[in-house]
Amino acid sequence: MKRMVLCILSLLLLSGCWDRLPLRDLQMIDAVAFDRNEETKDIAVDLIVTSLKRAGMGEGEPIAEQTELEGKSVIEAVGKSEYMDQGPFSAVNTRVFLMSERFASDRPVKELEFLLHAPYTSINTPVVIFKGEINDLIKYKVSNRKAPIEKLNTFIRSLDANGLIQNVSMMEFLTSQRDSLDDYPMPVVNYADTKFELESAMLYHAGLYTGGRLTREQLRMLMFMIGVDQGKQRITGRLSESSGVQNLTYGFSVKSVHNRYHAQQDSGRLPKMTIDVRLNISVFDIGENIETLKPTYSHKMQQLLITQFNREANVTIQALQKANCDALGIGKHLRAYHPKLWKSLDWRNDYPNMKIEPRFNIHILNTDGFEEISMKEEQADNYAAPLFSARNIG
Amino acid sequence: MESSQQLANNTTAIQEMLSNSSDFQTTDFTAGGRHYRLYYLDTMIELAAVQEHLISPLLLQDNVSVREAVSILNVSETQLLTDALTAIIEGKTVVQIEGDATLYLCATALNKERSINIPVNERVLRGSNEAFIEDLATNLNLMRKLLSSPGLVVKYYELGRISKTRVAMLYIRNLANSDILHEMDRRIKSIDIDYVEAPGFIQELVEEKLFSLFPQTLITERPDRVRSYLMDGKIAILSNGSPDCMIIPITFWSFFQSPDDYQINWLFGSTFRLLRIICFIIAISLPGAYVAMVNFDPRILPFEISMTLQSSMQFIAMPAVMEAISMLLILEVLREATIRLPSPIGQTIGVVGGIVIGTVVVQSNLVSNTMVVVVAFTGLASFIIPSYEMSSAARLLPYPFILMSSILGLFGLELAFLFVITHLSRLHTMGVPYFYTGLNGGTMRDTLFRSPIWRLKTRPKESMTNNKVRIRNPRGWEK
Amino acid sequence: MIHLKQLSTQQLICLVILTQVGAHVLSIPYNESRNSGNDAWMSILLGGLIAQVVILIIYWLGKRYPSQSLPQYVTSILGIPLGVVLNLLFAVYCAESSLVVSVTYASVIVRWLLLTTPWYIILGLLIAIAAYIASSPLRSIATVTQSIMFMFLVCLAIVLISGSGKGDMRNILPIGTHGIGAVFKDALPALWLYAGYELLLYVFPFVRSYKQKSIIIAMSIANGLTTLTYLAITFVVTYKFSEGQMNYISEPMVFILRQFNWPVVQSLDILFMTIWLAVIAVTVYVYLFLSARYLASVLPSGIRKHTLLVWIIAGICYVIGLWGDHREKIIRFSVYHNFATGVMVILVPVLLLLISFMRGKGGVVR
Repeated sequence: MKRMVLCILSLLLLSGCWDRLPLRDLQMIDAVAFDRNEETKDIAVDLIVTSLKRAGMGEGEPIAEQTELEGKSVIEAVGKSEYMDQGPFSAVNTRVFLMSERFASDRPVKELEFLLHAPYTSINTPVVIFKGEINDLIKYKVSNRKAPIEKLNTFIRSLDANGLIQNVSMMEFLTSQRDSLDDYPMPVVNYADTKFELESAMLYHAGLYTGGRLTREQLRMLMFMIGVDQGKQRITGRLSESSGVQNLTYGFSVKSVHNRYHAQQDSGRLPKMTIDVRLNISVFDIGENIETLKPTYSHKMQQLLITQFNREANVTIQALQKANCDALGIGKHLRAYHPKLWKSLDWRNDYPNMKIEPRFNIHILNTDGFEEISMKEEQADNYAAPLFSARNIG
Repeated sequence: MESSQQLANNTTAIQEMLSNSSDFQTTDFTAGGRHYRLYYLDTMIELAAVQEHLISPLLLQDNVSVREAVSILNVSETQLLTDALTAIIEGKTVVQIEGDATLYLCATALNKERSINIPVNERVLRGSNEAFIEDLATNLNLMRKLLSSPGLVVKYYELGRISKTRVAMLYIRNLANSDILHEMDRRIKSIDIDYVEAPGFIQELVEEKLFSLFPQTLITERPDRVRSYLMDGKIAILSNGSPDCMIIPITFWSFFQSPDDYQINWLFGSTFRLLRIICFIIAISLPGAYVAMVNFDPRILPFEISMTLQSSMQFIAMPAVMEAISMLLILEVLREATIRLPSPIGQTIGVVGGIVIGTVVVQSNLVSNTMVVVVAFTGLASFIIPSYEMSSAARLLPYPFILMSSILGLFGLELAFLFVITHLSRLHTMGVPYFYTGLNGGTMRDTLFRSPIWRLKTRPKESMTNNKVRIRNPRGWEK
Repeated sequence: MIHLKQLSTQQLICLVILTQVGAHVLSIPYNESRNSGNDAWMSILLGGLIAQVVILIIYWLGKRYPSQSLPQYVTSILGIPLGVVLNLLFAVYCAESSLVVSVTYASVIVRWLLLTTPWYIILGLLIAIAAYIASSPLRSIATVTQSIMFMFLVCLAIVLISGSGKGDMRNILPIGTHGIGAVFKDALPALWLYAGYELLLYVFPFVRSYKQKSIIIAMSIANGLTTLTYLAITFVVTYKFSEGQMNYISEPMVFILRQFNWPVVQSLDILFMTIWLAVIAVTVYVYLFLSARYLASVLPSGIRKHTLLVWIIAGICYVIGLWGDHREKIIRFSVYHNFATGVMVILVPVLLLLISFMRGKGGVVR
């Protein structure tokens, strides 16, 4: 037995070690950016490599370097990195994938599909559409607190944590091509003057750009309707003129979002979808009377907000239907819960013609007590639905 | 060889058998008309006993036989010079009357021993602080005092052709398994060597798997630990000249038990025991895992951590494997050095060596920061194991693990682990398995956790005793 | 000398679970969803039920000869020449099983984990460690298996944690739209997932139990837990990937494991595949052990040393496995192997039971 062990050990030691990927020599790619040239339709791939200089004792100075590779397709461009002096490139720790708008609108998934089967790639990181110069990302002044790449990563993660948009990872992006019901918005991030900004969202259907975009307000409504947890985000805005109230700003944070989809038979072949959204909010600005948020006033505000949000949500739904992008997931709902109905529909053609109605139900949680009513009524009304009281109109 | 009636013949004979040692003395005196001669080794006898209990009564009384006159507990007669020789070496005084060939062997041995002290290697916070000393009789005295039961059996053996060391085997009748007893008896009786440096020698001669790193017997110098193992049905072996007691048969998990687990709250005891076991695993595998992650699979680490690691290794001259092995070797050297140095210097060198080597080696870019952290933690984790033998195993095992990880990464680490686990599972002491895992209450009770006393109703399975029940009514006051 | 030759029921459970769960865990439920799509979990459940029935048959067979294991009583059922042939067939089948499992997993390692390491090293180390374990007495094997059970639980925890997170419950609905026929068709590949319970044929007399019923309870618990494991994995995969996507990805677990994201570790597919090696090793060494035992009962008692047989069989498997580094060859061979599994594991016990009934218990050998 001991002889066997010795044989096996000698087998190992005589040969070399093959799969070494020593961390010390690794060029860790922090961000990969894809761009497509206007005229020549060539691909430019930018690799940003970050490393720390003089790390230790709680400090470190990040250095970022950029390498630009060009080729007819992404694969060829990346292949050129083998001949460059800074190998081995390793995309094992990439934290973000950036696409330019030009690249993102022209069949991006087809170019990037190889990543799914390539070894040593990290494909669970977000894909973001980036407006701005890649060169700006690597500039770092020692007086800045954080390197731009760090800020970008923190920003993208906070977008997801605060429910502004759901980050799409590279794997989801690539596999969405195979599922005809996988529609989603992708964030467009702008970088100007060392500040990052979520500008809008491009709508995608099964990995292809539909041509439609959502503004930030429409994106917000979409997130409500999908039921995304809003984290620490504070929703602020102004009631529009058509609500009949002048100059009313609102600000609240959302405690919880619950959504439900209903499909009802309608006249005609297509069903009617209703999207119920219940928002439990904690208000911190609601025009006047915020020092003591009396119930009657808060009910009035709830109604105003409900009408406002319904209107905005309708605009969002129209934009979605126009772009034929089912970001709401209605198709998936129908397929799962109404299979017979699903079989009778031709989803690609039917979706833009469906009637989809949003129904918001906003509930302000931090109303301040109750009005001055007598003790008996108080006890009786403890759990009854609050009414408009003629006694106290704000 | 027969003794002769002439004193002079006996004297020369015995002197020759003792190779003419200078400490062989004879004393003559006459009393009551008889000529007595005492043969003894003057380094071995207790003067007071000889003078008061041997010479004095013989001088005062006449016409009585030696047996009636002498007031010594252990007197025997013999006609053989070889018996007398053995007696003299043991420290007995041999009395002979001129004209009579009978030799009287009187026990007057002198015992010089150190006093009972605090255990050197097995200190505890709570619990008794007595330790065994080198004298077998005192050790057995301590054991008998702790276990005042007629069931405690002491069996003597004499090992070593030249050293003739006395070895005692202790067990409790009705608790120890009789098959194991027979086997132990057979093995000890079949040892045929010149001298025994117990119990290390006995351990190697009795254990089964010869090339294993893991200790197969437990060595302790605390009587209270020996008592607890005897009560579990195990066998203890004590020998003259060594304060260590060997417990057999033992299992892997016993090496992580410490007496003060039982003196404190069982929750704390369980936590500390679990901590020891986890530290054992860490001490073996942490350097290997670090080498594997840094050399083979940096994908496992998130970006921020790998950036930090990379920058700390940026300018290091040696590859990670060499760093790890050299730092571990330096740690070993430090450990051995602090044991050998005389005590005033020892502590200083330890501190200075550690700090200086650690800091300077990093600053000179030979070894990276994180490697020093990893090695220091490994070292600390291996100290936490209560048994010296097991912690020695934990000090040696990281090296093959590092080698395997440096060749094949995490895959190699896994293979090494499987190999060690299999090796442990194949060890057994006289049919008792060394390593066992199991999720049933019987095995987990005293291994990973320390159950409260009122739960430990039966003896552990591994000792295979006949008498399983050990607690009958622990909390009898409760209704 | 005290020799504990007997297994406890808990060790039996661990052995059976770890032998059943094999390399396929990474590709569940790709093969089982070819026809049934998102109803693959029903196919897997069905496979588990069929396996349970076969376990009952094997238990029945073992109960008729409670103190003998299969190599010994098969001669009293079938007669000496056929019995010897059957023992030999079992030995060959077990050796081939261990070969297929080790080659499959070695190819997974070569594709995802250690890409440039030569094939012969990976396969060699895997078979060597399995042979080392298989050459130990049965009690040591059971202890090692129990220790590996912890690693298995850790892997399960990793899978479940990676699986929670972003995903769509609606992928599992609608239930049952694919039809019973599709579910049955996909239950066939699911049967191969459960192969491993045939070790009861050999191990039956060695299990220490208070009542004989506890053996069947233990086996059922083991089979149930394996089914639960597979179901959990199927649910996780269905939760993460929709039906269309599942058609496209043949090893979905790897992608799901990569989604694991904690501050200190990430991308646990590597760690999972490494720890899973231990679970694979259980399958390999159990089959090697069984093969050596069956072979030992066939050979004349001169050459019966267990260790030697194990290493010889391991060596033969290694030499044959060296040709296996093409994935295509593996897939073609495993088609044949699945057929052999079906015959040996399902048909043979049924036939033996029937013949044993016909002959009466302890029938006369003609």
